[in-house]
Amino acid sequence: MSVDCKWVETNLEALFCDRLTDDENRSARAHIAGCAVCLKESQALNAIDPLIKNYFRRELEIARRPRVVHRGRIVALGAAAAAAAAALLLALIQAPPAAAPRDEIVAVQPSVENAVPGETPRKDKDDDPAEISRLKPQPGPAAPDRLAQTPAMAVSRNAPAFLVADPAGYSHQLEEYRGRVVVIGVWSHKQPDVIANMERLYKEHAVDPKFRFLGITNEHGKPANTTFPVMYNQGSKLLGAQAGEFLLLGENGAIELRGSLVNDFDSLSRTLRSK
Amino acid sequence: MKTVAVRAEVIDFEAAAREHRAFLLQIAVASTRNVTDAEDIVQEALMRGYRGIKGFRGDCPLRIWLSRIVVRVSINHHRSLARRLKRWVFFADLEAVYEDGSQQEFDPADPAGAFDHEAMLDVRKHVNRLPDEFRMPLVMLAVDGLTIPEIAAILEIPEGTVKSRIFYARKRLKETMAGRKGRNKA
Repeated sequence: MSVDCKWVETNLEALFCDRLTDDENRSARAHIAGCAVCLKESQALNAIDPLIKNYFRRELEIARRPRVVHRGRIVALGAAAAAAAAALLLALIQAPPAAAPRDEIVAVQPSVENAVPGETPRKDKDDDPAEISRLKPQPGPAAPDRLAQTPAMAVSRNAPAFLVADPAGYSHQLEEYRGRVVVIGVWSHKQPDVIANMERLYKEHAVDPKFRFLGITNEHGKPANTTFPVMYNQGSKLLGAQAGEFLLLGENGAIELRGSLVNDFDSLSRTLRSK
Repeated sequence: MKTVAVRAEVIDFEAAAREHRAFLLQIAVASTRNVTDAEDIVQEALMRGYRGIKGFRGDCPLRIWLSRIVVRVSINHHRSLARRLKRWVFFADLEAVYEDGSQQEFDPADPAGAFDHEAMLDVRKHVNRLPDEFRMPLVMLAVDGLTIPEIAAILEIPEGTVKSRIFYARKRLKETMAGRKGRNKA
């Protein structure tokens, strides 16, 4: 059979893959041996194998060598340690003075009536024992009486840093609200009166630029017919505030008032008007 | 007649892992693009093999069955988002220090000086640019004692396909490397 360069080019794959008949194979090899162009092409393809073998040998050598340490990991660990130290320093700076006596802190008015039915009060390590004990069910009729007598409680504790996100997904921190009077209302869809009171407060005081209102929730969706800014909690403890409670932060970032958005609404309104 | 369970139970996996570890490392090197991950890939594959040994039907040699796992782990390893992110963030990870104090930089130096360093850099670059289906059979051909039928069994494709892919890988590599030479001359 007659084999030319074009035939070899077309059947080169078949030649390398042993798919040619003996006759074709013999003719093709005979042509390649006598044709400089086809010989060069064939040799170039065959020359790849030793290159790959060398490449593989070197790669295997690298894989077999025991590794001790990664500089990159050291850099990463160093960066992580520096970040942790910075976070600790920040926490220390923001923490209340050691002597800021807890005795002066008036225990928080829990929103027992406003709590969502079936919702277990969360225990917070930062909370005072008084707070925690009051979150437990109180036997007898004493608890409602006491709650009725005491309006919103004044507290003197620095607000802990918090992180919330607006519906667009942007994060907001306490630091952004320094120099403003911030009303943080924690609400739930199951508490329409809390939402209504939050909206009333917002409509009444939002025109004053020194006030900022944050309606924080763990649930998705904005309540109908409301205009106050809704924020989603990003895991902040918010000093253990439950749904239905508010926190009033002063311009210096300290918590000035805390209580129920339903029971203590009047005292909160009065306080805001006086500012 | 031996059941599948009996077949799996008679295998001493620990001894088999010891025996085939070096071979599996070669398969891992041939199938991964980042050779420094090869040990991790083998370890992961052996763990998966140990957990799934009851699924071994005995229709192929154990080392081929383990090699298939290595290839799959290697592909998943490469695709892993976390791995890619890690590479992106910790770029300095490419630098490694070995016990003997020597370093691997972005491309390891040739300790014996046996190869043209620039050419080897090129080979690595061009081999890594080949698609997996072409790169794996081509590099596996360099594994000690691995034949075309075994490569076909590991990659679970017909022998003819293996040969064809090896041919096209060679051809593409030849073209890209010839292109570089042409540019250098120009």
